[in-house]
Amino acid sequence: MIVVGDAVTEAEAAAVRASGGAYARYRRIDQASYEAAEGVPVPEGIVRIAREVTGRDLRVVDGRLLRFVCGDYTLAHHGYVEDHAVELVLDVSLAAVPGAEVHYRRRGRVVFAMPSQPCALAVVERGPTITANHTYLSKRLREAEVIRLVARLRDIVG
Amino acid sequence: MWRLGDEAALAEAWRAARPFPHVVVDEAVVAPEALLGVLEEEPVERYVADLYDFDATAPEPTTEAFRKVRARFAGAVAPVLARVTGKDVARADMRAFAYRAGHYLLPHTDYQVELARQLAYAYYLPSPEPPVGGELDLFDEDQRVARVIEPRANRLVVFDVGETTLHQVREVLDGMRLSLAGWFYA
Repeated sequence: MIVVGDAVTEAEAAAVRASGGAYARYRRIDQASYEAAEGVPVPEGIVRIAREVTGRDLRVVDGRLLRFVCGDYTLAHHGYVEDHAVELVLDVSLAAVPGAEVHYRRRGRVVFAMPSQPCALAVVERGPTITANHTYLSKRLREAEVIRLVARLRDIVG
Repeated sequence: MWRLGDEAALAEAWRAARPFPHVVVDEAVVAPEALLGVLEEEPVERYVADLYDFDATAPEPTTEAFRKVRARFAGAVAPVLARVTGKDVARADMRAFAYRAGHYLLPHTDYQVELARQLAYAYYLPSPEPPVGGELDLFDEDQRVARVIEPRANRLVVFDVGETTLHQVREVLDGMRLSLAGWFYA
């Protein structure tokens, strides 16, 4: 698990934000509250970084944009649990937001935290014991907006 | 010390309550300020997880005075709630909570088979800085807010524990929300 600062330029982050199309709100509040855009292209540059960091020959499985505004969150039991997948989280927000982090947990304890840092990339090798949550975004930050590209990568087989 | 009022009215309120059974009792304690004095000696820590962020005492009281508060609460309230709700409740646990600005408890149910929680409760203490926010929201089966309960000082809220009794504590935006809370067990 590692955070790479300035993994993309501001222009590249803007291009990722624009590639999202329509967002749909997730509506199971006992699991999460956010908006998502599916089928988002994953920049080749961050895939290359993931290959270098992990030493694995990886391909993109899927990419989605997650948008969080004040009051939004995801809980650790939301989403997939993957064995041997690599997860990339690229922060494409316009500005850093205090307290807006992605937490990776093992048995409930935070073992890795991705800070709110536009243009930064987290590379995380997920296993079945690792869960993740996007922290609650305070309602005191009325204008805050966090946008993250979350991509799943797997080893190329054959 | 604890007074819940007319049992028949409470039982009717419990049955009629939506989105799931609950009762709200105002002026539940004769001298609520006395409870604050008991808590002064009780250590408080911050608890943070994906679901919550708040300050609270440990699950088990550390002072004899707080243990007595818990025992008196359970002794006075559990028999009444057993008659009002029809649930076989006898004992209660108790922690003190302080939700300061930015603290919250996100939507969840308290239901866990192995813990055998029967009823949940929250009693709101007088706060030196009354909170803005911190309401208790009860959700219906479509996960929409169906009841909003303000954390008014000296108010006791009791609600059912089940797989669908979804609720949350809204983020406190300013001030401090003080409460005693926990569950009743068989």
